Amino acid sequence: MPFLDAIRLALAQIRAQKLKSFFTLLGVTIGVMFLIAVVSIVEGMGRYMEQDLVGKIIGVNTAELRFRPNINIGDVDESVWMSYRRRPRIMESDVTPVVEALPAGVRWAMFSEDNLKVESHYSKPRSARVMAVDGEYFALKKLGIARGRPFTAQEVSFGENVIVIGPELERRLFPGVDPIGRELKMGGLPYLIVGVTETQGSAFGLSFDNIAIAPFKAPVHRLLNRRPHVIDAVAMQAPDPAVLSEAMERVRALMRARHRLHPGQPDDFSIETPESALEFWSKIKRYLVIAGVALPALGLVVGAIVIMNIMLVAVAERTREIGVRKALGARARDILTQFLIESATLSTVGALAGIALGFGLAGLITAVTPMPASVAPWSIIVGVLVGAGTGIVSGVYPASRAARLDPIAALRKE
Amino acid sequence: MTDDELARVRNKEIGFVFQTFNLLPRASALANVELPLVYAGVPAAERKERAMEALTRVQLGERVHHKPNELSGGQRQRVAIARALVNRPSILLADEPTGNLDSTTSEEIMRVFEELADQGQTVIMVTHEPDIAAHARRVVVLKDGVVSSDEPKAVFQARIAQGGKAH
Repeated sequence: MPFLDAIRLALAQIRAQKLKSFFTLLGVTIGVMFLIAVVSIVEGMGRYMEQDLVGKIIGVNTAELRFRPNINIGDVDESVWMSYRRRPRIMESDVTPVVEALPAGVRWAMFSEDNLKVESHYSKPRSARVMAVDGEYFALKKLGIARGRPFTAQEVSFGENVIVIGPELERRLFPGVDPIGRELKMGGLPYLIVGVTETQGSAFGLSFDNIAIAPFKAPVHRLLNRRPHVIDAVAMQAPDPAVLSEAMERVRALMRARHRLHPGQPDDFSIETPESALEFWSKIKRYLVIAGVALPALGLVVGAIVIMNIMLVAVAERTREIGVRKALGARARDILTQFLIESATLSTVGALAGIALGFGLAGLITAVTPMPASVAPWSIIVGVLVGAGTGIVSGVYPASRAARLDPIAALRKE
Repeated sequence: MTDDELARVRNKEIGFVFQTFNLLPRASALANVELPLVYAGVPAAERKERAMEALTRVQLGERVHHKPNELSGGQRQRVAIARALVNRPSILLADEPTGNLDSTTSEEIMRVFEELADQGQTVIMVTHEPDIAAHARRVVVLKDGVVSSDEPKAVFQARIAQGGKAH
């Protein structure tokens, strides 16, 4: 029996029994829907991780010298944490030698940061990400000043109580009020707001705009690190990757010397790049993909069982038709193909519906949660193949029963 | 013979006509008649042409796109006959083809069979009714599975006319 005729027959069957087909296809539809949604989310998160999140936190061609990695979402176990805690911190006194060691053309910045309570006269106290910075922090983080002005050289060198805030903190702390020239308080001390940064957006619901940035020497830096003279990081940004690796190598050698490490000892500091931070993501991705395949697979198994059931009923209901077809010269193989194509068509239709719904679900997730989703074209092909495959697998037994029917017995059945 | 060989014989050598027509209810008359050609592997264009030809032979050229439930009993049986004929079988086997039809329609169907027989088509028909049997050129009477008589049409008709029992 020609392929297209068999498909047409199957589609007619679906049209004739809409409600039954709907329930039949539900399992496959849901399975494929979640498959598409999960794949989209994993894809979207991957793109997000690589392009936005880590790029925003660290930056392109940028490395950060810290006493331990800042981004630790991978499998860092207890003993690693213990070894991190024993490491010496990066000190203010490290900054000048590190900066002097950098190749020409490499920008640098130093900073400490923490979440602090920030007060104003116009709202209740808010929590914000507060940073005390020095060097070319704004240029390095591509952080523009939208209104007001950056710090003056004098404000930086004297560590005056001035501050630049992010647009979100502005909204929350100064609703309906122009904050420039006004004061906010941190740790009981007033700071003069001189500027508002451009918006940087958010990642995973974590806003980059709820920030307050002060010159490093301003008193607030003492609230950011409990131990005196300790800083969080020295960032370096090179014009290209080759210069960056040269810079990283020099800083590494310098820090090893400063910490008096023997050649056999491992580094007791970390120089983090977006690439090194992304290693954890590939680990998470593996688990996500496993979960993303295992859960929809359950739906597909249920879907397959339902389809098998429905096809068995279809074979029983259409015994007479099978008898007629055999009387007219259909071979066992023709009947087998007919029912296989029918169940494959049935579940492919279910899979197509699942793909559409999966796109919808991915879109919905993007809309209502901070998780980004992006539909991978290959997942459509996988969805269709999975659908057709499920249909064929679950159709084999019913179809072979139909094919084995004796034409005389089949015709006699009422 | 293997199953596939049997299928080939059913497809090419024997055309079946059933008492209950056994048409596929969701397929048009044309599609029903095309079915044996589908299993014979005839290409679509030729299939359609030959099916139309067969339907014209049973005077149904007009109603080819109707579904079985849109046709009368006699018309359905003619579709079934066209289907049995379409692959030019050696034998046309009819199992009580008039069993579900009224007498006028039965006569109509019998005329179709007679025409086919006149054109050289071998038709073997099973029936309980002497009137219908009387259309055959040779009548074999079976009683309890045993042949009780085997006579040409004229002899059989004479015997029936004298009020004799069919068997």
